[in-house]
Amino acid sequence: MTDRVLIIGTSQVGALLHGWKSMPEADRPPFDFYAVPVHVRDKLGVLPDGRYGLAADADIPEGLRHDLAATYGAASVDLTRYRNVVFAGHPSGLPQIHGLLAAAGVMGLRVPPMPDQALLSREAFRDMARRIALAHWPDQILSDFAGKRLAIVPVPFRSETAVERKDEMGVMARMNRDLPEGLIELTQMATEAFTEAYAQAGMTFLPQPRATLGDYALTQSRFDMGTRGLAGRIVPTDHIHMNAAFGLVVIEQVLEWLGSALPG
Amino acid sequence: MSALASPYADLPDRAFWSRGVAQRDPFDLLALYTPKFGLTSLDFIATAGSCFAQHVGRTLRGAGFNLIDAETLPPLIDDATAQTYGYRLYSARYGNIYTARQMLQLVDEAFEPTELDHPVWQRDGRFFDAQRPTVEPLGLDSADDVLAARADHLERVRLVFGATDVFVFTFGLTEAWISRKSGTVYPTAPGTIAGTWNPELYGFHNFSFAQVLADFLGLRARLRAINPAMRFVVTVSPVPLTATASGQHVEVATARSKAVLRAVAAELAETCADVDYFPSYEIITSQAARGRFFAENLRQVTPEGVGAAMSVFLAAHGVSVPPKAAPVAGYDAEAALDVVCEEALLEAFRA
Repeated sequence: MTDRVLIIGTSQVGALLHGWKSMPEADRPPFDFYAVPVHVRDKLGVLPDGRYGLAADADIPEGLRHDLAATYGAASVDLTRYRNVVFAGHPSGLPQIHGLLAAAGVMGLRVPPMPDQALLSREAFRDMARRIALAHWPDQILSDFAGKRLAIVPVPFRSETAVERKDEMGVMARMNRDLPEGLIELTQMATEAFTEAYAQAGMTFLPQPRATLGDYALTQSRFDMGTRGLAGRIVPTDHIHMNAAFGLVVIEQVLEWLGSALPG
Repeated sequence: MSALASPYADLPDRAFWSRGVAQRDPFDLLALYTPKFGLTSLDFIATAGSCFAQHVGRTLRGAGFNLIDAETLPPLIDDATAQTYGYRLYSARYGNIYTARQMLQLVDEAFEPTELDHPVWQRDGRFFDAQRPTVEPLGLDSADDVLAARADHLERVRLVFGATDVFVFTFGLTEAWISRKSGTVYPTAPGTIAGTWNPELYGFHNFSFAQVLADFLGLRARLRAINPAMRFVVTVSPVPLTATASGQHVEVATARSKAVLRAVAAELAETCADVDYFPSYEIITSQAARGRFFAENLRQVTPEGVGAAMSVFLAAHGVSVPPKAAPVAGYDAEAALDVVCEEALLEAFRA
């Protein structure tokens, strides 16, 4: 077992990877990054040789194993090297809270957008948030990573620039902007419920840092500019993948979580 | 006139016990129900009643009928979670309504300023709506929160009955607990789910045939004042009483209760052109079923029984089902037993 930390996840790992790369080499924490596209995430698992990764016969896009090797240094992970694991971009369910709030109100904090939509008590909202959190975390992953300290970095809330979009994401983002009543407080309430639910399952939930959120519980637009893909290319904004500056804020949060677990 | 002629001579098989029941395949049920009027996907349907009524709502929704839901949760909340909080059970979040009196009381409360006695019950420092104590299993922070939630709920009830074309109501019980002072009726005994049992404040009441009939006719009049074209489908829950406070044996009390409710349903169907009766009670309790539609506790209806009854209903209303009324495609047999039924909680209070 080493003191290196495994940052594992989907394309959301990119923000952390490029934030980490933007640090002076001497200051970089001992992180290793392993990322697969979200659509093959379910194909990850413990391999016959005890390592963790994509099965040799997994039906995956051409070149993915090569990309994995380029990011991580190998196509699979030796889990025995890591005591601390951070999952980045595994769906936590937290962004769904905004979906719930787009279609329901909460007593004393937010009126339902439409007359026939539910008005939840605060207790029901908290409980639903807890259930959403736990429903997103497969038992298989808990079993694969048994005995390790696990932290979860959620998919960020969509960015403020999404309000310009014409599709469903734009509709939802505008709902945040146009019906902001109680959103910040409810997002905070949901975050606490998620933290509690994940703690019960033996994991630490690292909520999106408040400093990255704008007025409408959307990610500040400065964080989705100049976003780079895993391979380093600048990609057009899709409002849910953030840049290296965002990654640096999250890395600070991860370091805080690691605390004394880090060397030096 | 022939000496052999009799008014029974030309009657169909279903009129005779031997051919209609004794020799019938227990699943060959389609002859038991001929609707008085049809339902279409254009009808706005509301449901309410005892816990068995949840099956009706679930089946109608699953079959694509236009079931009203005035307290809609988005699909990302699963059914089990939603139902824990009283959502997706009925057309609004009123919980189980076991008596015609409580249904009438709810509609009165929604459409006219009405003050109910003891509207808020407490348990362990939490506050509950006495008229629907299960919809917030954790209770709320304060009595004011309960009253605010109820005010919102009543607005939804007005939405429901302002839009209803067909109201499906399942009679559940004749026994109830009421306020001695005002007659306010409650869905559960105080002290079971929440509230405090105080015999000076609350009393037991076993509604008579005349009272149940008057209550339903009163309800019908209120609702038809809102929509004169509103139609009604009434059913009687086949689920026996969990417990009785009548002083009689529970089996005798069950027979009394169901007999009253069944007789009221017959009276309504026979005298009101806008009221239809669906025989779920007969389908489940039929001797032809030889008890197979009841679970081991002889009380709970099995998924097979629910499927059989609801298949008859759907088939009669033009939703194609396999012959002999096997459970309909898409009918969730596992979920059939998963109904929220606070009456069953009485079992926990057995001495």
